[in-house]
Amino acid sequence: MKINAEVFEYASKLAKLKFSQADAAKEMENLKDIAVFVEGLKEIPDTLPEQTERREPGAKLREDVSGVPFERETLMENSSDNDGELFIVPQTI
Amino acid sequence: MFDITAVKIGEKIKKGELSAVDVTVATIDRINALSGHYNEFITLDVQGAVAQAERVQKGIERGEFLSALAGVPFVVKDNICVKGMKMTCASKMLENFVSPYDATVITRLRKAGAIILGKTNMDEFAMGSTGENSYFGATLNPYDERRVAGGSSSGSAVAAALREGFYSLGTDTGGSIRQPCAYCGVTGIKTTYGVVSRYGLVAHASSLEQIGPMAVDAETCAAVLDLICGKDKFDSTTVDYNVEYLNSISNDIKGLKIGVLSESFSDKTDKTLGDNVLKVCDTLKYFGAQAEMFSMPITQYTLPAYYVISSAEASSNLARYDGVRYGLRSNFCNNIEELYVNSRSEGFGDEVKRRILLGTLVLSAGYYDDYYKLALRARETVKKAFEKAFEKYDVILSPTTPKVAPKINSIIKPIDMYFGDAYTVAVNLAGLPAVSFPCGFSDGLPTGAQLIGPAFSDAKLLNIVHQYQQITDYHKKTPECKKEGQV
Amino acid sequence: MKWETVIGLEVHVELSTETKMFCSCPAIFGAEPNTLCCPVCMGMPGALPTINAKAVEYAAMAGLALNCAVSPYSRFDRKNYFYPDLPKAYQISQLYHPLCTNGFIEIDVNGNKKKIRIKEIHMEEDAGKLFHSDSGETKIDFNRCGIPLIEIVSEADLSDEEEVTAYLEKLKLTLEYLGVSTCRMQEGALRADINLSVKKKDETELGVRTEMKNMNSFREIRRAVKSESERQISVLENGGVIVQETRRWDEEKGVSVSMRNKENVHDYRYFPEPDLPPIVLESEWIDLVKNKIPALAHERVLKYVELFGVSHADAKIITSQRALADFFENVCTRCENVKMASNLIVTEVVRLLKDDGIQASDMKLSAEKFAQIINLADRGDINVGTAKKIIAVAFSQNIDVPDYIKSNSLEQINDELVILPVAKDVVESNPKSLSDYMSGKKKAYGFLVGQIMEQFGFKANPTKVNECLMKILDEKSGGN
Repeated sequence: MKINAEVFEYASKLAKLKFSQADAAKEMENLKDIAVFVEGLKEIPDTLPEQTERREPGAKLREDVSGVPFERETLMENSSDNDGELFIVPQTI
Repeated sequence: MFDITAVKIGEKIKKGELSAVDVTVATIDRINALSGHYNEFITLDVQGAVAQAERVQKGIERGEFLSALAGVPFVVKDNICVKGMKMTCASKMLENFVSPYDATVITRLRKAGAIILGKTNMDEFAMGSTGENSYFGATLNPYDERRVAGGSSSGSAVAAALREGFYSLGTDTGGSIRQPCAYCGVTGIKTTYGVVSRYGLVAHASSLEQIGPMAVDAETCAAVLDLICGKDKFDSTTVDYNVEYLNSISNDIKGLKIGVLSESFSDKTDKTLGDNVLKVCDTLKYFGAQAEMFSMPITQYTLPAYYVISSAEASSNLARYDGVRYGLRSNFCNNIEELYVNSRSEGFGDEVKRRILLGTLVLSAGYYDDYYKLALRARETVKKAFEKAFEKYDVILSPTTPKVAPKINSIIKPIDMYFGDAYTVAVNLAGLPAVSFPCGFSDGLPTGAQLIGPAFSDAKLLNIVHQYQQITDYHKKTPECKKEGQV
Repeated sequence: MKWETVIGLEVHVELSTETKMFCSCPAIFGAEPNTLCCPVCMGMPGALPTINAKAVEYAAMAGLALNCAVSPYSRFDRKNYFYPDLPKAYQISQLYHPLCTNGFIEIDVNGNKKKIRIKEIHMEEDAGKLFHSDSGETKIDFNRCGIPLIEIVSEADLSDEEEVTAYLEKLKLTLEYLGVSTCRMQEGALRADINLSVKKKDETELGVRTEMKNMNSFREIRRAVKSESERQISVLENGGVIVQETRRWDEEKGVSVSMRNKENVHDYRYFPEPDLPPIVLESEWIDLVKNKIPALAHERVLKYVELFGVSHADAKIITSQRALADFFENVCTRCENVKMASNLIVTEVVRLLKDDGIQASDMKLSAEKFAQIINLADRGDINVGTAKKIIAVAFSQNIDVPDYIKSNSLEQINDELVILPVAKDVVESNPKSLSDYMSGKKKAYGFLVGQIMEQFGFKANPTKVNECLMKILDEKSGGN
C-alpha cells in the first residue's frame, strides 16, 4: 500500500477529515509505518477462503410487529440545531 | 468492607448484615477519598446511585431481587449506554452526549438490582492500548502513577484495582479488557463472541468486540456473567448459549491439558513476567493439570489482520459521528461539507483519525482485495490454527502482555503501541474466550497471565482461574494509594 | 435512423410491512416528522440492526413472481457515504449476494412481445427525507429512514419510452397484486432510476450512459427518456462526448440538467455487514412463499369473465391496476347490476383517473359511494347520464349522494304524464325532423330524443322518453 500525498488526500476526503499541513505530514509518516506493518498480511501462509463463503447458521429474523417508537423530544435532545420537528443542517446540494 | 468481594457483599446484603445504601455510600466515600487521582472517572452519579440503592434495598427486603449481586455497586466503561447519563467515549465528539437508552447489559443488571455508580475513563472510542488517548487526559496506573493503566478499558481496570465499585464493565476489541487487567493486577474476561449482547456498546469493531467484567477475582466475573450473558433480540450476533457460571467455577480441573504458547515467551517478553506466567503451570499442576510448551506460528501474523479488520469496521462505525443529529457540531460551517469535515476533524483525537484513515483506505477500490479481503482470509487461518491446537490442549496459556505497564508518553510511534497487543488480538479474531488474571509482580508492578479456551469454554476458564485464586493471593493485593485516605 | 437507445432501470419499491427493515418502528406514511424513530434507525451510538422477517418474505415473493431464482444464501453489505438523510453514514444493502437473481418481465408493446431481463432484486433500507428551504437550510425528517426497500435491477434491454412504460406498468401491476407494496408513486413508494445511453445501430459497444434518479411519475419518465435520448444523439452527432454522470430531470424545462457534482463517481467501500448474520432460506420456506402468491392480474381476468360475465376486454381494463380490480370486486358486493358497474368503471372511472393523471390506488372515490350511485341508477331514481355526472363530481369532491341529487334536482323524471306533452311539443316544433323521420332518416329520431332530453335537463328516463316519442310519432304517422 503506497502512501503518498494523493492517497492521503483521497482517504481524508472519503472520511471527511482535514489536517493542517504539519499534521498531514506527520500522519502520512505514521500511515507509512502502518502500511509497512500491514504488508505483513501477505506473509500469512495457507490462507483459506474468506469467512463469508462458509455457511454459518443464518440470522434469526425479527417478527414484523410494531414496537413503540422513541419520543421525538428524546431523540432530539442531543442535537445541535432543530426546530422541534425537524433536524436542521446548513444547505445541502 | 473492601477486602470482601462482590458475591460475599451480595450475600451479606441479602442476609441483612449490610444494606445496599450503606455499601453504596461507603463506596462513594472511598471514591471521593481517592478523588479520582488516577483520572479513572469521567462521570460519577452520586445522587442517582444512592437513589438506586434505596430502591433496591426496599426491593430486597420485599424479596424481589434474588440475584447474587443485588445491591452491589459497580462502574461502567464510558462507551456503554446508560440511559440519562452522559456517554463520552472519552471523546470531544461526544463530550456532552446523553444516552437516550440503556445497553442490554445495563438493562439486565438494573433488573438484577445492581447499582450503577458512574462511567470510567478509557481510550477514545476504545482505540488505544495505554489509556493515554482520552480527551479527558490519561488514566494513571495505581501501582505507579508515572505509568499507564493500559487500554482501552483503563478507568475500569483502575476502579477494579482500587475497589471503587465491586466490579467494572469493560470492553475488549483486541485486548482492551485483558491488557489493562494485567497492568493493574485484576481479573477480567473477554467472552466467546456472541455470548454478551453488544446492543448499547458504541461500536468500534463489530465482529471482534465483547463487553465483559473486570474485578478482583474470577468468582466476581462469573457472577456478573450470570447476569449479562444470553441471547438478545436487539443484537443479531448473540448466540443462544446459557450456562450457570457461578455454579461452574468450583469444579475439579484434574487432567487439564495446558498448552503454553512458546511464541509468547520470546526475547520481546520481560523475563520476570515470563517466569511468573510459567509458575502458573506449577500452581495448576497442584490441581492435577499438565502443561507443555507448543508452537502456534500464526500468532506472529495476527496483528496486521487485526488492524486491517478493526480499522475497516471502525471507519464505517464512526462515520455516523457527523454533527447532524447529535455530537459535536463545529461553529464553522457554511455548508454541509464544512459541517462534516470540521466537526469530525475537531471532534476526533489523533489515534481515532489515524484508524479511520487506515480503515477507509483498506476498504477503498483498489485496496479491498489486497488488504481487507486478505485479512478476512487470514482470520479464517487463525481460527483453524486455534481449532487444531484445541484438539491437543484444553486451554492455552500465555502472558497477557509482553511487558509490564510502560511509562506515560514512552510510546511515541503508533506502531509501537500496536505491538503491545501481540498476544491478545488473535483471540478476538478467532472469537474465542480468554481470561487475564494476576500471577505475580515484577519490580512492584503487576504481571498478568492469559488463558484462552475453545468457543464456549468461558465457564471452564473462570473455573481454572478460580481454583488458582484459592491457593494464591496475587489477586488480593491492592496498590498503595497516593492520595489522602486509606486503602 | 442510425441510432438506438439502450436503457436499464433500477426501480426502488417500498415494501408495505408493519415495521421498518432493521427496527420495530412503525412503517407509516404521513405521520408527524421524526415521530416514528428509534436509536437504530436514527443511527445513535451503540444501536444495532435486526432483520424484518416479513420484508424478506415480501422480497422473495416479488422475486418469485418476477421469475427470479431466490438464493438460499444471501447477505447484507454496507454501502458507505455521507449525506444528511443517511444517519449511519452507510446504507445496509446487498451487493455481493443479493436475494434474487435472473428473472424477467414480458412486455407487450403494440402487439410486439419482448422479454426484459431482471438482473437481480436486492433488499435495502430507505433514507430520510430532506426539505431544502430558501433561507439556506436543509431540514430532515427520519420517519422514512429504514423503511424496507427492494431494488429491482433490469438489464439494459429497454429501447424507448414505450417499452419503459410497459415494463414499469407490468412491474407495478405484479407488485400491487402481490400486495407487497402500495406502489403509490405520489407517496414515493415506487421510484425509478433511468440509466440511458445511445449507440449507432451497427456498433456492438455500448455508449456512455447517464443516470436520472428518483423519478416517480409515468408522464415525466416518458418525457425524460425521450428527451435524454434525443439530447445524447444530438451531442454525439455534433461531435461531442457524453459525460458519465447523474443528471437532474427538470420538469418545467423538459430537459435533463447536469448536476455539476465533481463526486459523481463514488467509492462506496462496500464490505459485509458485520452486525448481521447471512440470510439462510430453506427450500421449504421458499415453497411456502410461492404458495402464498395471490391471484395475479390474468387470473382475475378469467374470474371476472366467468363469474361476473364481464367482457374479456373490459376485464383487462379493470385488472390493469390492482386497486381498480379491488374496487370493482368491492362494488360488486354492494350492488346487483354488475354489468352497469363494470361498464361505468371502464368508461367513467378510467377516464377520470387518466384526466387527473393519478393511479386507482390514489383515488378518493370509495367503492361504497360508487355502488350507491349504481344502485340509484339501477332503481331508476336517476338515469345513467346523471349517474355519470355524479360519479365525476364524487371523484373529486366528498359529496353525500342523495343530498346532492336532491339539492340539484337530479331525480329522474319517469312520469309519462309529464314527458308526453313535452314530446308532443318537441315533435310539433320540429316539422323538418318529423318529415325526415317519416322518410326513413333514423338520425332524425335521435335528434328528437336529444331535444326532449334537453328539455328535461337530461334527467328524463330514456326508456320512457322513447316510449312517449314513439307514441307521438305513431300518432302523427297514423294520424296523417
